[in-house]
Formats: sequence, structure tokens, C-alpha cells
Amino acid sequence: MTQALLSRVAESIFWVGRYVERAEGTARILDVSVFQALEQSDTEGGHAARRLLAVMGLPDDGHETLWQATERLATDPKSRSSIAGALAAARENTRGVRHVVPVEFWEHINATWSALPLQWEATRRAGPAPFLSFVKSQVAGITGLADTMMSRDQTWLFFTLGRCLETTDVVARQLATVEFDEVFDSGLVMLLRSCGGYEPYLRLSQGVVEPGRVLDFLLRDRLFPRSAYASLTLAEECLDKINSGRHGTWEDARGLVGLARAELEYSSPASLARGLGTRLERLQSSISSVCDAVTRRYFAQDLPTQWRRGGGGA
Amino acid sequence: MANGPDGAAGLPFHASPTVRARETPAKHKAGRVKGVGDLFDGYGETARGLTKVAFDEMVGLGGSTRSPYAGVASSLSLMGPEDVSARATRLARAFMDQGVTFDLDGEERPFPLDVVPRIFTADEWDLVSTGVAQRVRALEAFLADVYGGARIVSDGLIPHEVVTSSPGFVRAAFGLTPPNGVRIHVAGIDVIRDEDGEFRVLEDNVRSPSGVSYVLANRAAMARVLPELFWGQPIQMVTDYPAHLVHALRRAAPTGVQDPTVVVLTPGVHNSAFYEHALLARLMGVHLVEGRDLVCHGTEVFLRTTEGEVPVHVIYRRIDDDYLDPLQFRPESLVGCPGVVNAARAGRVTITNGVGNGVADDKLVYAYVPAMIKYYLGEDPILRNVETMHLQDDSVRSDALRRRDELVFKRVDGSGGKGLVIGSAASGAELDQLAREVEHDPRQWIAQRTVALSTSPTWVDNTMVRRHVDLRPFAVNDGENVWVLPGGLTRVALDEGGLVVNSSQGGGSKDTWVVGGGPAAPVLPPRQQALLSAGPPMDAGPGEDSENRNQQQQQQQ
Amino acid sequence: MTRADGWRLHVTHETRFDYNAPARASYNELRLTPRTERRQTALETKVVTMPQAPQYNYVDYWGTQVVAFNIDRGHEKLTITGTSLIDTQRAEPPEDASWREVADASLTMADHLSHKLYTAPSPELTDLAASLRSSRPLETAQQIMERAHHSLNYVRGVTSVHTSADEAFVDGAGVCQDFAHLALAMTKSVGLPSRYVSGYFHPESDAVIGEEIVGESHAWVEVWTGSWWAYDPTNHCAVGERHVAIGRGRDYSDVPPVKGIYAGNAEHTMQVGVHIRRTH
Repeated sequence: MTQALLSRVAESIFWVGRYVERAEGTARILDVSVFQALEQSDTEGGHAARRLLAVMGLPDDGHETLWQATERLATDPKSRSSIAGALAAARENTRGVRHVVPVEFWEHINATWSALPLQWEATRRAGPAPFLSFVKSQVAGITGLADTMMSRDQTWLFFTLGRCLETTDVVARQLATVEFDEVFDSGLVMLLRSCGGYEPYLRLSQGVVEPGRVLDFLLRDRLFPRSAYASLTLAEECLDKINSGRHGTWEDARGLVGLARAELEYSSPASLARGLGTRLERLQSSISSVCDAVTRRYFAQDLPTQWRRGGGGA
Repeated sequence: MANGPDGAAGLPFHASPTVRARETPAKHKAGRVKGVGDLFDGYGETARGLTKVAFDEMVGLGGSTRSPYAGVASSLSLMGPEDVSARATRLARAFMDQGVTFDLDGEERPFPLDVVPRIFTADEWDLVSTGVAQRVRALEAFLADVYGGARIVSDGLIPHEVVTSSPGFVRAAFGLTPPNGVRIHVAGIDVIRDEDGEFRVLEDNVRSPSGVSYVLANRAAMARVLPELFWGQPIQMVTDYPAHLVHALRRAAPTGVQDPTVVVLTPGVHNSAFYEHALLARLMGVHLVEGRDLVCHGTEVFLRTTEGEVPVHVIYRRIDDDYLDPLQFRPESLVGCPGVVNAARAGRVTITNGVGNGVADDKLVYAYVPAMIKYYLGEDPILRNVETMHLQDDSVRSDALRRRDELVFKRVDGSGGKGLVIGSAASGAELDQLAREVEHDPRQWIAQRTVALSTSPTWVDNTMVRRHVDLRPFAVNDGENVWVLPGGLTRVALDEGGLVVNSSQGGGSKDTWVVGGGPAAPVLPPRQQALLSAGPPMDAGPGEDSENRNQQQQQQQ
Repeated sequence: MTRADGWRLHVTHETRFDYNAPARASYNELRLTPRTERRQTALETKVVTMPQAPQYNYVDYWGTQVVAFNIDRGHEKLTITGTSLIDTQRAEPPEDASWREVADASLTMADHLSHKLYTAPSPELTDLAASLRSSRPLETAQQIMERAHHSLNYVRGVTSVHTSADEAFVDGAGVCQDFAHLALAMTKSVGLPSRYVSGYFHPESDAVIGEEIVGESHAWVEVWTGSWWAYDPTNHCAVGERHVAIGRGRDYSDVPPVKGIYAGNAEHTMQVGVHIRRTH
């Protein structure tokens, strides 16, 4: 019992992991998207805007420019997909479980969230790059604090599980922003840089930047931590440890993660590029199913949000 | 994209320390404090604005320093005003950094801790602690009686109507029998020292008294920032409070449970006392839970964890009765757990402090506590009450209202600063409103004479001045003994002449010491010399390039 | 007690809740179980719920038998059926104490002189009650009962469970609970300790044995005039074999037959049916 977390606490910290990673992932996607538009002489950014909104799963009225879409994805407080929205949600969830996370962890998330408006102000003059850079480095600080200061108990395990699931989801979305048939080298480089994987990739491929190999790297490389494969592996390990008290009981989430990972592992390099769109969609929906399974098993379900009176009592 | 839950929204509660009366300016006590150096020069003369001659904690009649303070006073004088000021600043910063703050108008402020501790001798403390423990025992007996056979009513010692009309009297608590008989697991019995230096009980708090987290934080901060004051003083420690509390809570578990699960039930992060709930849970090594983490199945209570639902045996709840169980009380409450009262009734869980304790700290019932001590314990009260007027009698009420600008009026179910009117500080309109409310429902009010609380040297604006103080000792009842934390929370009114010790109205606190007579904290060593003897050097990586090599590197093209 | 001068009644009290969406986490307390006391013997009592749930029984502050249960799983219908078999008797004749004796006894009956939610009298009601005060408490109580009875027309649908005595008095109409609240408002205001009683009532004074008819949940009052004198202001008769008592309190809210909460957004409708059969 002593190792168990309260379901509410586990759920909150899981979502802090997801939201923090989402904020960073969105920042990286915006990086790639803006560059791509410039590169393809898409002066209005119309095509890029369509693609960006589609990738983020957001409604598109067809008229939004790339700048508008970027601003929305950076600052809209009402959307959990925007950077501001995700960090606000991360902060709110952390606040509810402040007493079980390191103080510095809470303080860093809080400080990041409260600095966002000021950071965005600079964007009007200098473009979005400094803002996106700020977000990325702050998130690195948050996850760094978690890794160095949290005991590897269920608090860290659920946080990391959340991060891993989100990372996989973000990789899939990032890959979907690129049209592998038409992309220039510089686009691939931008993609790799935005994943922090440019140098690791180069060492692996000995300098050859080629769509098929980049795809393979980002989906399947075992050593690069942001590859879909590596994130799924870590997610599975976390689930294993969380479930460690209950040998022999089947765990839906772990099964789903394992299957997704196996699919990546055992597909031939050539087959990766075929039907990429469908594969990426399937990967994202697996993540969704895993999240549901984790919620069903570990987090409290259907908590009363209000009580209603029955009977005639006063 | 999927979304998780948003942050919690609990119902706000207030748990700030009590407010005291304000005096009107008049005479003060002059006198030079002998023998403690410049810091305390003129100390006695700074007491402008006090009506009566208040008892001073440090300075006796004739101006001499009471012995418990001699060491502290001289240590402070040796430091001198600049150093003392610097330490005061460090105390404030320590609290800000740790988050020991309270909310004032949306801003987080540190709860001010004064540099001068309040000191009790072992004998003085003996009197206070046995008086407090006696009071708790009497109130325990009262609660058992009033939710059982009510002998005290049939024997005519207290009117039935006083009990039944008390807002704290909870009929659903009838028949709730705690497994070890304890209903007051934690009590905060507020004590003052009157003009004659006699300790009196000002009010009882046996529902959810708060403030012990400040006691612990104050001691830790003082030891860090003003260690010189501690040298040579056998001060009784306070750090074992959580151990005493968790022991008492475990002993309150339903019979037959081998390893009881204890939880602290908090309304949530938005509650002003959340810091204390979280601190106590952490120091006791138990889960901090909210109502939605608990669920009743039948008459068993469970905690929702990642390893399934785990039985809960003792709930240390910091939630008012009204919000505890939406089936029994307010049905809109989202911070409680439906069914929990019946689970307690069935003996499957213990709710601490007990449901319905409010009838015992009802301010109308307060006047009967000395009689209770005699009736239930067969003892004389060790600590007296403050003279209190009940306002249901027409002539008493009209007299009190005629003098309403001189008296203190309190709502019987108030706590903290709520429901208090200080006659001498209120405006005419406020006093008229008070009169209307009292006439409308006299049972809801009492009036007391304004006591001049004792004063204590306090560092304000770089001077040592007299300020009024009170005390909240904390008592823990484990069923066999009532243990009183040595010291407790001294609250101080930082306004000159003021008697308002509430933090939201300019109050602060003092570390409170009991010197001698019990298990002492280890005396700190004298000013440290070299810290540690040198251990082996730490590992170093590949050496830095030599100066020559650097130059050669720079010279290359 | 011999059965010759009493009745034996079989009561079925069914309450049904229908929800337009699943209700979850339902927590309830029932007060529909008569107990053995001075004028009645409870031979058999049973409460059955559908969905089924374990029941927890206890006696509350007012001496009423309570059955508590909770249902975790989602359900769209909840039926609660209380069945009782009770022997009832005519009541003893009332005592006729003096006002002094009533005042002395009142010292330990503060609950019964105080008002909770529905019985606080308006100045008019207070004056009316005062005008009915006589030199004997019992006579005063009887006059108040008479006045209460004639002040209201028995009409369903005008008042609700939340109507106060004042409101019913002004409307001039109400059901049994309003008659009871009105009587209590007046008896308490003249210093007579009084209680609200909830229970069942057989509507026919010449009931045919074995015939099951539609009965009702009913309310009447008890006034202390030296002992507790039970009277039915709605039917303007003494409480006797046709009355089965369940519980007492200050007003309706202390003895609700069914009280509960449930989680979820579902709206609910409630239907209640009482059937009563004289078996002896």
C-alpha cells in the first residue's frame, strides 16, 4: 500500500507529463512549420497553415494564415493543444499535487507559465523563434528536475509514462508535417534539428541525409530517446514497474504499447515509407487507447461532479 | 487531442488565529528595565495606548527582568540593533522561501515571526499544561454525555436549551461512539494572561484547531537564524508533535485493526490552511486526501489508489461537520464523502476530531466549563474563565448593549476572526448593526469584558516595544493521556496598543519556549570553528591545459 | 395488550425513482420502519430495494429506525419497498397536568419547544395561539387542534414538502404535514412541548378485514400535557388503532421517509404508493 499513489495524484502527475511534453512538441512543430513555409516560397503560408492545423487535429476554417495559426497554437489559453494552454494545464495539475513533487519542480513550472505572456510580446518584433526557444529550454529544465530530484517511485513513473506517450504522439505528428516524397534536404535537417536528433542522426548515417533513413531513425532508432520506438520502450518499462505488485494479471495498456512497438520493430525499412500516413494515424490512435487503458486501470473513474438530492428529505 | 482533469476547486475555509479586543488609549506603565543594556532602554515607556496596566512577560514590577528572559535579553543586547534587524529580515525571508505564508489581499506574505521568543518556566508551564489537559478531559466527558444520556442536563447544571440550540450540536452524532472514547484528538485551548498575571482560558477550540505548523516552522527558523539565543537553555522540543499525533490517531482506530490506515482529509489546495494539512500528513507519513479520493461502500471507507481501493480506518479531517457528509449534512458538499458518518456509526472508521464537537467549543457553553470540571472530574478548575455575559436575559442584554462600545461581542459559533466585534474599535454604524443582530437572536452572541492581554518585548521598527500576546497550546489526546505540546503558538499584535493578533489584521507570532522540566532539545554547540576536518579530495577530470600549451594553441594558425 | 381491542395492520410502502440517465453512487436513508412502542407492536418489518444493496440499521437521535444503503453501479430505476405487520391499540387517555408541571418538564425538552424549518410562527399565529390559551394545558392543546383543523382545507398539490406552517395558514390549504406543522407552530408558541410524528394511517374507521386499500403516509402531532398526548389534526381525531407511528422530530425534515443523494446529471421522478390492509 505504501508504494501506491492516490489515483487522483497519479492521474494529475501523468497529465503533467503529457502536457509538458506537448508544450515542447508544439514548439518544435511550429519551428518546422514556419521554416517549411519559407522554404517552399509559400509566401502567405496558406498551404503550411492548412497542414499545421490538420496535423494538430484542430478545426480549420480555411482562412487562417500561418501567422494566425502559429499565434493560436502558441497562445490560445482555451486550447489544450496550444503551448499556453498545455502549460496552464500542467501548472494547474501540478498545483493540486504540490505536496508530492519537489518544490523546485513546482516552482519551475509555475515560473514558466507566468513568464509566457511577456515572452510572447517579443515575438511581435523578432518573430516566434525566441519564444519557442524559451519554451523548449524551460521544459528541459522541468524534465531535468524531475529526473534528478524525483525518487523512482510511482510519482516519477506516471510522470515519465505521460511524457513517453506524448512524445510518441508528437513524433507521429511531426512526421506528418513533412511530405517525404517532396521534401528537400534542408527540410529533413530542420525536422531532425527540431527533434534534437540532427547530430545523432548524422553520426549514424555518416552524413547522408536521405528521407528513408530519417524516417527509420525517428521511428525506430533504439538509442535516440525521442524515437517512437525508444519512447514506447520506456513507456513499457514504466508500466512494468507500476504493475510490479501484480504478477500474472493482464494489463491492457502494456499489451497495446508492446504491440505498437513490435509493429515498428518488425517492419522492414522499405515498408515504413509505404502508407506512412495510415501508419502514423494508427500509431496516434494506439497512444489514445493506451491512455484510456491506463485511465481505466489506475485512475478513478466517473467521480461525482455534483450531488443531486433524491427523495423528499430536507 | 485527449485532455486530462483540470485543477481542483474546493470550498474555501478560514482558519486564521483568533482576534482579540482593541483597547482605547490611556495610561501606560513606565519604568526602566534594569540590567539588559541599550536594546531594552525605555522598553517600559513604550507602552503608549494601553488602558490598564498590562502584565509584562519580561519585566516585573519594579522594572527587573524575569529570570527566564535574562539569557535571551542579554544575547540580544550583545548583538545590537543592527544585527537584530538583520536577523529579523532573515526570518521573514526564510518563511517566504519555504512558503510559510498566508494570503493578504491576494498577496503572499510571510507570517511575521518576532525575534524575541516568549518564554515559560517549567513551573508556569506546568500550571498551563495541567489546566489545559484538565479542560480537555472535562470537555471529553461533556461530549460523551451530551451525545448520550445528557446527565448534565437532567442534573440541572446546564439548560437543555443551551445544548439543543447550539449550532455545533449535531444530532447525527448521537450514537457515534469512538472506539477508544476520544472525541477531541487535537485541542487548541486559547490561554491569556490577565492584568494580574493570572493565566485564564479565553476560548476552547475542539473542532479543527490550526496553527501547529507555525509552531514547528517558528522553532526551526529561530534555531537557524538566532542560534545564540538557544545556547545554554534547556528548551523542551516541539518536533515530536507529529509523532504524538499519529500515535493518538492510530490508537483511535476501530478495534481489531492491526495496522490502521490513517489519512489527513483536506478540503484542497485552495484552503488557507492547506500548508498545515500537507505538512502534518508528510511528517506523519500518511496520505493527504481530498473527499473525492475516498469512497464508501456500505459502511466501509476506501481510498482510491493506483493499486485499487484500500480500506481507511482513521480520518483526521480538517473539514467542518457541515461539509463532511452530503448524505447527512449539506448535500451540495463536494469536499466530503457520502456515507462516512454511518461508517463511523458502524464502527468501521473513526472520524477525528469527532462529529459534533462544536457544541463543546460553543461560546455559550464556555461559561459552563468550570462547572463541568467539578461535575465530571470532581476537581477544581486549574485555569479560570474570562468573565462572560449571556445575552438571552433581557436585563443583562440591555446592559451589555448600552455599554457596547466597551465590551467585546463574539458569535457563539465563531472561530478565527469571524463573528467578532470589538466595541472600542467599531464604528457607530457597526455597533448599531451589532445591536440589531444581538436583539434578533441573542442566543448567538456572548459579551466579555475587555481583558488587557499580557505584553511581551517585540522588535518593531528597530526598537524593542511592548506588544500584547496570547497563546494557543495544542493538546493531543490518545485515550490514556492528554499530552500538551510544550509551548504552542504565541500570537502577537504588532500594532501599538493593539490587541488584534489575527495574521490578516497585523498580527504575528513568537517562538514559544518552555525552559527546563522535560525532554530538552540538544543544546547547540558554540560558534563553530573549522567545519569539518578535511576528507579526501574530490575526483577531478582531465587536467586543465598548462599555460604553455594554451599559448601554443593560440599561436597556431 | 390483547388483540381484542386493537387492530393488526399490514402496510406496504413503495417508493420508486425513475432516472432519465443512469444515476450512480446513490446514498440513501429510509425512515419507514415502525418500532414497538407504547401503543404498537411491530411484528415483522422488512425493507427491500431494487437494485439490491446491503442495509445498515440504526436508531437515530429521535428514536426513529433508520435503514441506510448505497448503490454503486449505474441504475435507471430504484424501488424501495417497506413492508410491516403491526399490532396497534387505542391510546391511553391524556394526562391533564398543570402549566407549572409542564414548565418543569420542559426543562429537559428543549428540542420540543424549538423550531427547525417549518414551524416558526408568524406574529398572527403567535397571537392566535395565545388567544386559545386556557388555564389547563390539555384544554389549550385541544383548542389548538380544533383551530388547526378548521384553518386548512385538505387539498393536495397546493403545498410542497417545503411549505412552512405560516405559508399553509395563509393559503388556507394543505395536506397532513401542513396540518401538523400548523398545530405545532401554535402549541410550541404557548409553551407546550410538542412533536411531529410521521407514520401510516388506515383511512377507514370501519375497515373491512382482509381488504387492501390505498393508504397513505401520514403525519400527526404529540403534545406533552403530563404525558405525550397524540392527536391527528388533519382528521380531527385521537390517534388510535388506525395510526402506525414511524418516528418523531421537530418537523417533517427530521423524519423524511426517503432521503438520499446520487451522482450524475440525471433528473428523477418519484412515485410513492402506500397500501394498507387490516388483517385482524
